[in-house]
Amino acid sequence: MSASSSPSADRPGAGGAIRAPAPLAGRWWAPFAGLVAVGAVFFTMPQWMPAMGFLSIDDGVTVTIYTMLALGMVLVLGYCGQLMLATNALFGVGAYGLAVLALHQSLNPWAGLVVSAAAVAAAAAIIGIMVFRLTGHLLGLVTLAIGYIAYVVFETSPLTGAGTGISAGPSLSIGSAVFSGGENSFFYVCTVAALIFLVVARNLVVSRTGRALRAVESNEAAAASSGVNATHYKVVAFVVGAIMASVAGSLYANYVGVVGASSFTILVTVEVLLMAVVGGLRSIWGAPFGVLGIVMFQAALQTYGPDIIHINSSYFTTIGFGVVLILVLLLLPGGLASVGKWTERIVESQRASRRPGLHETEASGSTVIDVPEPDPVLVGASAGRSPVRVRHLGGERGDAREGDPGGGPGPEPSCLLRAADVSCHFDGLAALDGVSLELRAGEVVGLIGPNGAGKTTFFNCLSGHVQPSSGVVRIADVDVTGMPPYRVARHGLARTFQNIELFSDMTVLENVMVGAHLSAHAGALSAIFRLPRHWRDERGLAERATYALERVEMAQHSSRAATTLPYGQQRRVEIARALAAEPHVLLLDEPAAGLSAPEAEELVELVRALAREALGVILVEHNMRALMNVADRVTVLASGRQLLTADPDEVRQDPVVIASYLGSSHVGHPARSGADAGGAPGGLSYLSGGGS
Amino acid sequence: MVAATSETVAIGAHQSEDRGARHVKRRGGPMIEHMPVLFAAGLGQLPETLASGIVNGCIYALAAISLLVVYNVTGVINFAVGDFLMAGAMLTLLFAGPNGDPHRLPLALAVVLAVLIVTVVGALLEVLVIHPRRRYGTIFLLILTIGISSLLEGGALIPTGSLTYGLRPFTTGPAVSIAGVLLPRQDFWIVGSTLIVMGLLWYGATRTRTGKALRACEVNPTAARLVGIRVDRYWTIAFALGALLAAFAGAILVPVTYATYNMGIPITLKAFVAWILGGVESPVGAVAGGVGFGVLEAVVLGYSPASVANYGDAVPLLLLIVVLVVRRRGLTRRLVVTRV
Repeated sequence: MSASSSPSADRPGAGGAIRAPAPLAGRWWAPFAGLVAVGAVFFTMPQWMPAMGFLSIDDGVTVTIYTMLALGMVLVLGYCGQLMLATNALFGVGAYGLAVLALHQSLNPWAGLVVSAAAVAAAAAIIGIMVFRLTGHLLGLVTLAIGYIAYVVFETSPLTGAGTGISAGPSLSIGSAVFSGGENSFFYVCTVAALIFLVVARNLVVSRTGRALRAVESNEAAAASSGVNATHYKVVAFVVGAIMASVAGSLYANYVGVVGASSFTILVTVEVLLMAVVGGLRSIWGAPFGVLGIVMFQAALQTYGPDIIHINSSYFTTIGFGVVLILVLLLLPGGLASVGKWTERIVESQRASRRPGLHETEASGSTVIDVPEPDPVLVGASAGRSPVRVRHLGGERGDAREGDPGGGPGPEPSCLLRAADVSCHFDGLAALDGVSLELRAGEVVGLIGPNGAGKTTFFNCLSGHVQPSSGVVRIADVDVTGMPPYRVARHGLARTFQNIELFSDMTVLENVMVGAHLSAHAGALSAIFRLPRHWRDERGLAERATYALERVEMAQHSSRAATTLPYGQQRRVEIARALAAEPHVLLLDEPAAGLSAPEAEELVELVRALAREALGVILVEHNMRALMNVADRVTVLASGRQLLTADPDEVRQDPVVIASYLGSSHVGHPARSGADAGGAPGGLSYLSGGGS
Repeated sequence: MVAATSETVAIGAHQSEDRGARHVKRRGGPMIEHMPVLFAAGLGQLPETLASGIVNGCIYALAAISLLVVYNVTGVINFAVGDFLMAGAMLTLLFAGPNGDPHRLPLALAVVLAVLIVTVVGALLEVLVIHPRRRYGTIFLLILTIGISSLLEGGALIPTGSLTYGLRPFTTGPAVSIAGVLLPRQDFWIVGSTLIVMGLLWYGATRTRTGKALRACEVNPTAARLVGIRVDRYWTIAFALGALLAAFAGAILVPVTYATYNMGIPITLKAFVAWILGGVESPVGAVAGGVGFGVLEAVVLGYSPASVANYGDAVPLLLLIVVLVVRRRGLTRRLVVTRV
């Protein structure tokens, strides 16, 4: 470390002293219960399926294989929000891969399975990187085209038997045990594989990676501002899903013996989509039941259909799928999983009425676990209290600043952020025209201007959400102009949004843990195999997030669903999310909007405390009292142009500023300044600070 | 070259199963799928190839406009567009009779009736299926239209089985020879009626109250609502119009192709390519994209070796992926950007 006078020097060792939060513990047994439930249903299929009359063990194999496919769909579409409709292609490549390798390379089927899965994973990564820049429906149609092309290739290519199909080669075997298609032993192989993938999917979803996936699904822009590289996580989900589909395909090839193209039509993709929707797109545990439901529906239709309607009953499958898909989406958009959640909620609410520690929340009906009062010493500079010990949240990245010449709060504090001559044009319309701004450590710069002045556009240019047309943005001497937001975030910039952009379907704590995303490194593999690093990072992230929540006095709400909170509290959570990133530069876009006067006062205190910790803060705010109170300097924008940058008093008295805010007729009134301006008549009190 | 006189055909015995209608197979005229191996055709057939490309392109253009109308007004990508087209083709067949049965309806009436029914079905599906969930995200709505697609496909499968059907050309007679180029008569119907429909659309969009209101919903739904336009109703109108255009395309297409219950998805995908090529927002672009893609498809399939041409639709669809990856920037304005 260079000689540094940064106030972060006295921070305690990385979170060690902070009370470990308990929210992750929760119901630790729930996933095990889910696994046991699915396992019980699956393993007993050879017994109960034939007993139903219209099902056979073949349907059991179908259920296990399609469960793997549906899990991939749930991961990619449900958790990551990416409509990938190439399931039939991945499934087919897995099947043909095994068959072709057995046929031409005489490869052992297990090896064939693994090689196919690896090839599919690699292909998925490449395709993913190519197509994931597209969003939503575009992606759906492109991947559907991929699925269609794959089907045509399977059907036409000599390699895949051109329509007649090819043999899958020898059966899977371990030692002398041979698992061949029609036997129960093969069914158990498939069941074990499906259950393993169930655990894999569940572990992936409940982790740092899983939170990033859900954040991307919920709000890509906000996720990016927390440093989440959306494309990376989409590709991860897609690759995992692709491996599952490939293995499912290889097992299927072994099951049917002869692989033919008609098993890999687009209809397969639609079927899998249907199963995932029926099970619940946001539910790992719903998937197997969705598959089971559809397979039973189909089998029942084919068995009993001809008795009712005297036509080829397989013709009814397509329309049946359409009807079920539409009905589920209209009547039960959460799928079967939402039925599970209702029962859970009923059970919880009954229990809550008996146990004192749990209580119903008024907004959502979900339960909240009371978190004990935070330790005042460790809470430090919480808003609205005098800081017991000023400490910087700063983690590893603090070094960058400390290395700067003249770093720390010396007479010439380092320049954290420098925007030079930033312009931004939309279709020839200048939203920003040559705005320059410098932000030093420990400084709060206010950004004001009438509506449409370009304040938010300026923030977007700084954070990378909008590419400036010209100009340069530097963070601590690194040129970040034109970088995507997730890379800007890595250089220590965090922000909030004018319209609150929290991740829905996530708790307050999870939201803020996404904010701390960059402070940990556990990836998909650590999550899937629950390596020590996963647990360590989860703990670290939770600690950091809890600390950030304590700073905005929201720790007691950490297990609430974030978007069910009242407006003002959502604002605070968003600030906590930005703080959890331990930024150097913090952009707050109208943080006091919707806050009561005392709340705004607390906010001012918080911003001051942050500045004391050598953060640079840029604040867009319409609450002039709050802004003038806290800002060291104020930059005024109007119609994309920078009117002036000066200290608050000067700004208050500047005739041009007054004119641009209030119209020229008000110019000439002397500006009142000072702390006693509250309630002053005349338009200019709007600009005056003070009040208590 | 066989003239396109082919008396009304019912290829009832032609089992297609999953192979049916992979691309717009033409009967009569230059048959794309039978294009000779590697330039053996020589340049002598280029005019025919181009003509067939333009004709197919008209169909893609109509379907692309259908996508565009629905998308611009509602933001929904109508995955079922190809199935509405299929429904139009099937109903025309049903009313006119695949065998030219004299007891069936006259052709003109059959076309009108088919298009009308599909239009009503489109409006009904919007009211019953899309409307209740219109506040949900675009992906949710797209999945709903996949459901509609299955519904229509299944609805066609039950009465038709997986058989393929054909219909006589609207006017029978030998192919017309223009400067030595033989053009099947139905080609004139397709190109001519596409031009008329485009003209009507342009007139409707710019000169009528409904058209102007539709465009207002497209440009700014909130402002449209503020000036008293019932935006919700225009969702229904947009879907109905989309279904109408697709059904009409199906009706004029069916004499030159075989209709099967599952012909929709490839057409949806190609219409989508045409739409994207045309730049998503512009109707003129969609037409240009449709015709351009049709010609491209005909030329690529016509002049590539059989080993490639065998893959049929897969070849032009591969272009879709290339186009999207290359043209990503051009698309950013409406489809790709997420606003903060």
